[in-house]
Amino acid sequence: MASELRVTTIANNAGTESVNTTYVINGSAKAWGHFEGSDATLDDSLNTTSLTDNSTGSFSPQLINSLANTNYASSTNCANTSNTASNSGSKAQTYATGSFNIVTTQNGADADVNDTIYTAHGDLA
Amino acid sequence: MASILKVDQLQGIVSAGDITVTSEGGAATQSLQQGLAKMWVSFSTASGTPSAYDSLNVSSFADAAAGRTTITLTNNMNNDDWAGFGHSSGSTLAATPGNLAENSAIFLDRTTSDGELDVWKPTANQMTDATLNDASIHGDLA
Repeated sequence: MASELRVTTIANNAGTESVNTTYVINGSAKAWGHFEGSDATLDDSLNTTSLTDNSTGSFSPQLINSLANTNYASSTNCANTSNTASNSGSKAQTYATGSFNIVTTQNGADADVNDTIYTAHGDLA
Repeated sequence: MASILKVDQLQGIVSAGDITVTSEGGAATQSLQQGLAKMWVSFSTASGTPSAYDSLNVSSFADAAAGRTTITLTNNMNNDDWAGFGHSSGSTLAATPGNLAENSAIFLDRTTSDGELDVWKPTANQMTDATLNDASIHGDLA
């Protein structure tokens, strides 16, 4: 049977460590994911229903539960397979409450890059 | 009225690994466990040997090569598709513009138990050790 507990603070039994539940709820990632740009398929994710392949090097995670506004913090990163971090890069942009855009590049040009990841922190609607 | 819950472990009732929290706006619920960072670490490789300033769920480091550090987890991830981020400053902590943008860092060679954080210095066109490296992982624990 489902149950609901409403508390302000969560602490360990000894009372030596505690955290306000605001930090637990507001501080948790509201979405994260990992995909290969080559097939634009989500390998694993949270709160992401699908990944839109817009064009070469452009992807948009579609969220299951929307964020409350477009001011959330999204991070992204990607890696090519050459063990050098210099020639691939990514950025998040075009924030909407239900999705955002990830652009990936390699050697200065838009490219589908593997091991592309993202997170979104903020308030859910 | 403020309230404090004192426990050492939280578990779901229907499924031990699934506790839901209500969204800030009240319109949705989401898994508490899945939203939490499963690893974070701030560490230095300036001496050539990785040394942590502070960390969560990190059992050890291995210096694979210059600028390449294998971070081994205490509790394993459920798969190797986790979302791992890395950032790196320059070789000193001085907040000069060049220093702030000097390096880039990415995770490579992900497994369920470790990941290699590679730090690249574009201006030197090579991997590099650095004073301040940060990394975090989101994903599912085993």
